[in-house]
Amino acid sequence: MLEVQGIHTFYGLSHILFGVSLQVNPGEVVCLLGRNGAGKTTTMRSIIGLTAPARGRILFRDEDVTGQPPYRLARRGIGYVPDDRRIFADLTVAENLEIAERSTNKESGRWDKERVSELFPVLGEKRSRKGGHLSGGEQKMLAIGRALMGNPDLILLDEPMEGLAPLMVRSLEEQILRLKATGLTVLLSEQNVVSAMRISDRSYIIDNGQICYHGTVKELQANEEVRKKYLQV
Amino acid sequence: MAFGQDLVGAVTSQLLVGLSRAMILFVVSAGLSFVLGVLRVPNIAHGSLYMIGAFAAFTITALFGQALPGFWLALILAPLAVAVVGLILERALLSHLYQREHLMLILFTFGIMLILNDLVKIGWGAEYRSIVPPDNLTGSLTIGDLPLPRYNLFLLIVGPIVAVAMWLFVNRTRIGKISRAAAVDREMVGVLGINVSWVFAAAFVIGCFLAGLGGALIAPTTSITLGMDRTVIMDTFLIVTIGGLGNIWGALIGSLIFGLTQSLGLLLWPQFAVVFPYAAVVLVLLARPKGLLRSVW
Repeated sequence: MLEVQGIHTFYGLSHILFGVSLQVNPGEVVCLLGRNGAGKTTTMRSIIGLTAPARGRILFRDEDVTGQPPYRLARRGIGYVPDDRRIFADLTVAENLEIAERSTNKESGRWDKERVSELFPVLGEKRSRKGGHLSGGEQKMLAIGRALMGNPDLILLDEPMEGLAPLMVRSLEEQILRLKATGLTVLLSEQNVVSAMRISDRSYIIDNGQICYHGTVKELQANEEVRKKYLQV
Repeated sequence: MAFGQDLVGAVTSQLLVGLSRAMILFVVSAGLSFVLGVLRVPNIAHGSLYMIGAFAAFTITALFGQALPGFWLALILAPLAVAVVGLILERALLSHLYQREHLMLILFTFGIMLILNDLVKIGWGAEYRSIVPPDNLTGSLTIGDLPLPRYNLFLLIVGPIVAVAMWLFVNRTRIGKISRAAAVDREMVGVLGINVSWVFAAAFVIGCFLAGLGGALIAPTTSITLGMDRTVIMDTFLIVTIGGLGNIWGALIGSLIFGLTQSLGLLLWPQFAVVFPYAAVVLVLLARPKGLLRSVW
């Protein structure tokens, strides 16, 4: 589904990613783990085209999409949930969802406001509330719901668990698994290693802008040395 | 008794003049504010587009007759013509410059203003032009004992229609909602699969349409001439600033303050009437430096 091949990304003059490669297969949940500042967000931003890589290639469904603007990538079927949510604070919950709605010819249930409210009931209850007046957790759900409205095949979740209360983390894990069950492919970046490992099939570890480990979650659980070295767990 | 009646008459007619002036200012500043809010472009050339609207209204009424078809056609076609000019400006030039800082955009639109000015001079010349509205909008309507100019009453109807239309557009249409979102976070709008570039083009064209409509509306009340862009761009920038940048309702309130202080000031102290609106601006900004209503900046 997604193949990132040796990308180098810069912010201005500072070199952030040094040849990051990763692969996500259809229907998988893959997590990208790493410390703060390791390059998780930059990897996500590179994939969705917000910070185009200077070198390397990004393939989506076997097509080279490197350097395409974000709106093209979104139309091809990539959804993005930024770590800071970026809800449109002045728009109501319903409006936040409406502007993201895109038609699709996919048979497998298309997303609309009703279906998003089924997944996150609180968004249905607060549909006429301004986005800026939601709690952090609710905004997170709205950001995910908004990305789903575009009917993506692949969704990029940048630190979805960050700042959520433990109970919320559990319920969000469940919802991500429900999304996986609908056939959605997920790439999530997380600092909450325990939570990420509960829902993922495979994992990558990024450190100092380089992928330094990848394997199935089972392998990572068995490999104490790697976890100690890069993740402190 | 007679003196009292005169006073009431004078105040009422000045109120009407002020309100109708405010309506035209509102139409123009709503466009300026919308562009400022969504695109973050302080469009100094907005006044020139207003002037082109007035000249275009002159040409259209000259072509189709002063009376019936001419004026009404001008009211529709002149803003559309200005909108087309806006579309060309946006696609050919402005769309490449959104990443630049505001100072650069001010310089750029200032340059556009100078160019449009010269183009108007080449196209229409430096003479004064004027148009006459159709018969049913000339003369006065006598209500009670007061003669109220029909054209001013007409403006009092047009202003609220534009305000409601803008409100419906911004709050009830998909592109309106998208433009509100783009005003705050254009990058995120792109991530949702929306080509922000076209949203900006649409917003700019709507802003230009309103400038053109303002020009067409003012045409029958004044002499159409080079230089009418300068006054209006000053006034509307001040209006947008006291109202709150990018806030359409702020533009309405600002326009009312501007129009009414000017016309009522004329009664109070005729020699200094021009000063009143600017004094009002100073007072408002001293009390609320960010404008009366919430700015989107």
